[in-house]
Amino acid sequence: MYPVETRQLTKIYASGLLKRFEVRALEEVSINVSPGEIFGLLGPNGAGKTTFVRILLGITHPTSGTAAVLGEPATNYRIKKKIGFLPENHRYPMHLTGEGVLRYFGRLSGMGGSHLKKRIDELLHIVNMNQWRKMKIRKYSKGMLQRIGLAQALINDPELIFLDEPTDGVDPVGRKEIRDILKHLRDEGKTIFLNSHLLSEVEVISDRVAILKNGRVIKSGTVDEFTTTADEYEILYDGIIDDDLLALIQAIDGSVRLENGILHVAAGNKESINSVLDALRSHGIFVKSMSQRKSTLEDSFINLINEEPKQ
Amino acid sequence: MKLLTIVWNTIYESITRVTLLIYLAIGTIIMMVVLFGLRVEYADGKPEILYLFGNEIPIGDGFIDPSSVIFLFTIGGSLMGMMLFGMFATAGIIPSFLKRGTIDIYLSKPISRLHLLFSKYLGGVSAIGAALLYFYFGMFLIVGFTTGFWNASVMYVWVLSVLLFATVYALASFLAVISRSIGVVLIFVYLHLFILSDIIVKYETIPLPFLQTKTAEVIITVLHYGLPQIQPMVQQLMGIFERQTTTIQIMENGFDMMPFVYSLLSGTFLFLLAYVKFRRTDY
Ligand SMILES: Nc1ncnc2c1ncn2[C@@H]1O[C@H](COP(=O)(O)OP(=O)(O)OP(=O)(O)O)[C@@H](O)[C@H]1O
Ligand SMILES: [Mg+2]
Repeated sequence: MYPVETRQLTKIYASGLLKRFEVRALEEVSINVSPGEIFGLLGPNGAGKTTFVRILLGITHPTSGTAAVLGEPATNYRIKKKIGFLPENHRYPMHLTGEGVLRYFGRLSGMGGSHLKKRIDELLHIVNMNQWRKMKIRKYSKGMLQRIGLAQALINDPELIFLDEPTDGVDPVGRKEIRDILKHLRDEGKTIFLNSHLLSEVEVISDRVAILKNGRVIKSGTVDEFTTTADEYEILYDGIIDDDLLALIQAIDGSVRLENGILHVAAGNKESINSVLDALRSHGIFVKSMSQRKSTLEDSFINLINEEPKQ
Repeated sequence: MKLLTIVWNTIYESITRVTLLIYLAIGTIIMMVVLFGLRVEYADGKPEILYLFGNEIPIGDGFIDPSSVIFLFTIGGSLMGMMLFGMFATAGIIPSFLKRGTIDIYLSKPISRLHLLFSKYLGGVSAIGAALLYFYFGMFLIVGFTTGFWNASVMYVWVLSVLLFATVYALASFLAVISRSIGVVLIFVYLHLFILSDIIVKYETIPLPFLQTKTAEVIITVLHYGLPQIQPMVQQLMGIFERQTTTIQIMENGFDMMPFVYSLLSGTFLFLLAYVKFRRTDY
């Protein structure tokens, strides 16, 4: 059983006056998330990430296709006892304190008594909000609200957690803290589904990612698959490589390119790389460093988004 | 259990809004006015003359119960005002519950949509029910202590007043679910409370040609049964006190439960419509 399993999930919103315009928010999205993994759903604004999560929680109804969470159809509200959710732009009842928010939604998750009390204390420490627990949330800063939101999503000790932009508005230290919380949760065997634009962050914690664009999954795989080392070395140097010299080394190795003052050379033939280095040195060029280039998730994301023609 | 949690949170939220507090303050002022302005003169152990701020309230030959006169003017007189203000204090409950970011959290909890919507509805009705209880029960005590007449029918009127509000609030909930806007809720509910419900009762006597057509009659009949019957219910409530002011039979008929029964049915229907819409909507 996959904690999250969708098949050909499609959502078409009718919008505009008289519902004449269609917005294809999701098109035939099939995603499986395995137990105990952190899954990152990436995509530009309006790609359909929030819509996807909303359907899995039964908040929005799909136009076609199926969506299941923890082996149950997404429309079964009882299964939500085991699910946690941090929505984007969440708004909690303003008259409550941070602690009150946790108590209220804890009760709505079916908890109560000393068990809930203990859980609230525990979570306020985990998200570092204990000192503000008695303050009304209308006085909270954005990052504080986000922390309370995260605690709220974890109140029922869920098996499956959906987080829509969890680090939105949180400072760098807080972001690191949230990442550590998520890693800790994964180590406890929880499954985490993450929506984010912050690619560097997703890269650090996710096990697998999918990229969504205009409602379609354009690529999915492990983070390693997205960030594989490119078969290329970058050579940093001091000195001037003129056209003659460049022609000379390109004659040694056809893959050499000069871009923004950096030499790029394909990793294939080690001997020809050595010859290129020798040629450079013999022409008085000082080689400062040579390193294998590793593309970041951000690089491949931007490549993928730009490659795909806009519909 | 979860129902009570939401109901209580909704009442608490309403209390933190100024509107419900103003509501309670107005009730308190009316009670104070009655407390300080009321004087009863007794003869042979029986109340003989009733004074409100020094003005004698004329008591006819068939005088029964002075408390009913006071209730008629205070509770009866402010009934529509209480409905108006009650709606004002609670109109925002469902629209703000349906706002993005809030509804998402509620819907991610293990509670059915019917349960959620009903809890919010009940929260609004309970908030006003509690405010009315404060005012009615307070009046009951004040009038009881000053005149010696403990008129328990006030509590009966309280039950019916809450029922009246509950049916209006079902209309408000329906409007809230389809529009998600406080403005729309208030405009249409007030339109019904103060204009439409009057027209429905009196349309035959209004000298407008289009009201005398067959189509108008059909539409008005549908509205009469489809919406809470405000005017008939208010009349029945006032009648309870009016009948007690004198032994002379001033009304042809006794208390008629039917406006409440019809309104309860239309309220239930409106709530179910609201639920159907709520269940189908994407948030
Ligand atoms: N209720 C709605 N009615 C009509 N269109 C909607 C509705 N909700 C979302 N959409 C549209 O669906 C598309 C996907 O929106 P969605 O919120 O899922 O994007 P997202 O990937 O979460 O974007 P972001 O990164 O900005 O949060 C957008 O084009 C949006 O305009
Ligand atoms: Mg989004």
